[in-house]
Amino acid sequence: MKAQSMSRKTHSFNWSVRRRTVAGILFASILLLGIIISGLLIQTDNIAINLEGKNRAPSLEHLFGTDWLGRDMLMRTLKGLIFSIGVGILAACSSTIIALLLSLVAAWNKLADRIVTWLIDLFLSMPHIVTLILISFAAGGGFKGVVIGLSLTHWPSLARLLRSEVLQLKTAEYTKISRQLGKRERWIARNHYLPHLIPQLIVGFILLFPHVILHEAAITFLGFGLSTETPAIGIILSESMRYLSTGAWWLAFFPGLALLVVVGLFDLFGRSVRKFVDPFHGQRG
Amino acid sequence: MVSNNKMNGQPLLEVKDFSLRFLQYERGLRETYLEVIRNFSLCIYPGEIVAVVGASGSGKSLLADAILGILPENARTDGTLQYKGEELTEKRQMKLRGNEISLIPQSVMALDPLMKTGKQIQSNKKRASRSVLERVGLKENVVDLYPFELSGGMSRRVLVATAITASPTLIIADEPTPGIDPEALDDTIKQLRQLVTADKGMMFITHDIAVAARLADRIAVFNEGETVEIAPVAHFSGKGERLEHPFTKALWNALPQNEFIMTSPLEEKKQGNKKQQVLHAKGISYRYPGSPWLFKNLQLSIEPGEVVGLFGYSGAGKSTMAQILAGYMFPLEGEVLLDVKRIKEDVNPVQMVWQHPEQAINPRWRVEKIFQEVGTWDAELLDILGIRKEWFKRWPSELSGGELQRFSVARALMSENIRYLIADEMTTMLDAVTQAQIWLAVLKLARQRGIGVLAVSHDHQLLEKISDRIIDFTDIR
Repeated sequence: MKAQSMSRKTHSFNWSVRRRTVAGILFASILLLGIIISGLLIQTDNIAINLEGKNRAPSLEHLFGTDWLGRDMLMRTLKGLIFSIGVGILAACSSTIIALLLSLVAAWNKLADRIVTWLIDLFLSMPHIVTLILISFAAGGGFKGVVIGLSLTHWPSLARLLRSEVLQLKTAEYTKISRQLGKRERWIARNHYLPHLIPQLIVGFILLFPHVILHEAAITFLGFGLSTETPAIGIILSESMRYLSTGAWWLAFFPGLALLVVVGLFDLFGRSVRKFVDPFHGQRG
Repeated sequence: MVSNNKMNGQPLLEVKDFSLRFLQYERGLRETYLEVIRNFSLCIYPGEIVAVVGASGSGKSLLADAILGILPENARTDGTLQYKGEELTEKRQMKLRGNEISLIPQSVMALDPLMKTGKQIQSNKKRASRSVLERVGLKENVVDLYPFELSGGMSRRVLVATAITASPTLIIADEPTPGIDPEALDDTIKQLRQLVTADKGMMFITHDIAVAARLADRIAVFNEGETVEIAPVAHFSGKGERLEHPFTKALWNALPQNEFIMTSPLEEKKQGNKKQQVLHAKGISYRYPGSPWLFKNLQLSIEPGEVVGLFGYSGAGKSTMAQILAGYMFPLEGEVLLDVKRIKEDVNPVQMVWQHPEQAINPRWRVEKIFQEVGTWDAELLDILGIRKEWFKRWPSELSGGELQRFSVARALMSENIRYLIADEMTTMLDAVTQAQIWLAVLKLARQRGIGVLAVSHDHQLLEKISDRIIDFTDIR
């Protein structure tokens, strides 16, 4: 019957969406875990200086080639990635917390809301990278400066999302009833707002990640970020620029590609989790 | 009726064993189906109005969506839908929708706020709309008006006009008469009747049996996704002796204008305990910015243990007044007093029950959490309200509107200071049986505990059954 075939078609469509989502989450998390674990296993002697084997092109022995000191670029890249991921976790975490706190503050009263909206607009109106350089420079640069800079610049879009959610919850009938039952704002925030915000927070946190990592690499590359001894991807990239003209293309190509892949994986992970949490109402894609 | 059917031959619409489920993902990978409609069968013959009656949330509107082919993506259907003897496929639905089959939507929000009405009426088909406007009783000049310039009644007529421009053969009217005043109701019923000529049919979806009985030829009673009974309208009379199914009978008899299930006569109102205070509204006024006064210098008082009915039509400002009494809003002038003092307690002694139970309980809570919210426990009260233990662990989406509303009432009545209960259209969205049960429980508790009740409703017959006195909102505002 036609009606049945119709329903079967939509059925299989939805199944594949679900399957794709789960597959996306699994794929991304396995690869990311692999990168993190292998990065953690690297010892210093894996990236020891070996001047006899310097400037080698990619081969089976050294998949990403070696640099001007004969260090294995694969190992350096992994080490750099893990460092970037660490910075990313720290900065994305604090950004998420800032966004949550500001969105709750915005719910307090009209004035607070206006201030928060103004802050969000202010930060969104400036190019990320400029504020980021400014803040991390002012905070003394280095690891601390970069993390502070990243945390203070990446909250606005998530804060805007959470703020609108909180405003909606604030006028929901069930929170109004709670107030009439003598519940304080703190109780309401914990019991009414948080259950709604937590899924948003988790997804927001994961999606902040790729941003944070990219920006970290960017300012490090520009020389405003991490100090040159740290094994970060941005450092690797900026150092290898000097050798590009001599034909050592692999020095920049592979670390850059690896960075892109990791960022892409986190993005896939975040979008899949969002679809998983809210399969029918989130953005389709 | 049967002979009549044969006379007309082929049915316009035939629904056979129709089921509708929603695909849901429960926490993680578990895939569940929520069955909304089960084995629904219905025929609509030319020249006939068939009413589908069921409580809100019972899935009646989804039936309309299924016929029009505008179901949400995660809906799965089974069974057959036939229009004029042919299967309704996706392609055919697209062609018929808005031409041969059209919808009169439930809410006036269906009008595009940024489009002039003339264009909205024409948007179905490029055809002069003058005669259409005439047929729904609108003047020609409304084509140049925007929806916000129309009154509620006019908007509803415009909706009807959009539905009939293409002169459809089958009209699906989804709840076109929610809480409107009797005059407008008569008008709408007359209008809808006129639309259905010899070769046309209408499916009239409503939760109000009384309206259905006035308009339809046959009534299909819908409960928990199943058709309970399809009976000609003549059977809905007297005490429902001619109705076959006990559920239909109970539903019919539970109507306020019929018996309303009075199991035991209510106790007489206790003489007001001197210690208890009277709730006064002293000259309160309110208006929304830029609008005329909703009410000005309104006086109202409710005594402890008294049930006052407040009668008024939708849009009159009753709900605003109810919210002011319950402390959700503040009047622009005047004040609400408990005895002689303003209410200062953290836990308001005046509690309100809202119209939509599913909006009054946090959807991310298990319902038992409302007991934590209210901070007290009263097994007797839960018993009287008919709340079962096995509901406690469920999520609000797993309970029906009636079950949820019982929880809302319980929360209000269990709060520690409760003196007054404001029930704003508390049972409007529920079926007649549930409505009667909840009101009986509330009345019993109010009498027992000397709680004053303000019942706000557009249903005069309901108020007559439950109230000690009735106030007409238009008189006091």
